[in-house]
Amino acid sequence: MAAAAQEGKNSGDNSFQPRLQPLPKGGPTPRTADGHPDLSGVWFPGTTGGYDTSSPPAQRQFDPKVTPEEKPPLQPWAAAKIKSMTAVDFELGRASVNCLPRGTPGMFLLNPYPTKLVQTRDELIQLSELNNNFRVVHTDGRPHAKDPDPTFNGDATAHWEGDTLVIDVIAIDERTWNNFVGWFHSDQEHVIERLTRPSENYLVYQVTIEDPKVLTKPWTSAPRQWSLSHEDLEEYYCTNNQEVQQYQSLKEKDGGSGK
Amino acid sequence: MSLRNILLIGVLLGAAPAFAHHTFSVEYDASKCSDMTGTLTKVDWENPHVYFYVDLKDSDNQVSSWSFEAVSVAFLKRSGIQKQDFLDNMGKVVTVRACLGKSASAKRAAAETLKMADGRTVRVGSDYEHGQN
Repeated sequence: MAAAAQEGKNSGDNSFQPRLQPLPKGGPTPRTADGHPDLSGVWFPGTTGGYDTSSPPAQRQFDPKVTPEEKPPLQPWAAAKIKSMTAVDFELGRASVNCLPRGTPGMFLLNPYPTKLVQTRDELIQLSELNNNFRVVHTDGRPHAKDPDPTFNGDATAHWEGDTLVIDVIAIDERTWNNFVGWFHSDQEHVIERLTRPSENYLVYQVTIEDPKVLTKPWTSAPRQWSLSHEDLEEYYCTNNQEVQQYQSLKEKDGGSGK
Repeated sequence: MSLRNILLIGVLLGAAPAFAHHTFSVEYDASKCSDMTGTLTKVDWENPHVYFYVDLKDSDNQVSSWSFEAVSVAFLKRSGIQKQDFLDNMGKVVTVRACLGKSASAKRAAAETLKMADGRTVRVGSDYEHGQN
């Protein structure tokens, strides 16, 4: 099981420890009393159920050779806006550099830290280690709030389609990006997340993003793999962020070219 | 190849920056990495990065304090490094393998490894010299 594979120390061999291997599939999909897949657990991005910097392929959420992911189909004006950004602009625009929440769907797509899911009969509670963020998603199929104000995680409603939990999200704060390189979005963004647990040790997340103001057509991610851990989440508050100041000074130095 | 293209290729390959919350190459220079030896004076055991401070002597024997950026608390703890490891080495001579910041005036570098006073070397940052971010 994952916990056993995670034992180890930084033993001084000049590499991060522990070294982990991809988890086996594990047993069948755990299910709740009402028969739905139970998505509960602590999940690490990738296949190892933990960190393994010695094996980047095991750490990534998908293998582009197996499940290629298309580029975001940006409208020309949006692509031009991104192209005009300097390297420092990219940094200063990123939620991570500013210690802002990744939001939806960044908490899955752009998150190198574990996330804990707690599933109850009518809710899915997501606890993200990164910045100690959380969201509560109603899974009883209730409609969206009427004219919701934008928030980082958006206004979500969810329902089950067979063994897939479908989360429909609108009203997402425009400060969030959908990738690390400037894919911003509009107030019209509509996010459809799909979560499955095909076996005990794996969670699969796939998202479709519609944004008629920014994209030429909807974009669907590759199926992203997350793997089961038996660790506790760590406390992670962003209390000593020195990055913004650093990048501002670099911007003043050379215009932010990043050279 | 521009930085933007490198970043885009990285994302397309599913190799988005995994361990840092920002892009290393914008702030630091992976071609200017070296072993830096001095006295450990302080650690900020916080997020998003742990920072530790070392008094280094320059060529004129002038001592100045340098700050070294490590990965986050969670990454260090999960790789077996505790705050106590730093406290145990406070006031002792350590060697940091680190890459210089691009701002010449800042005495600041990104740490890759830290050799403690007892000779143990631990990884505290990615292997920037070989392309990790």
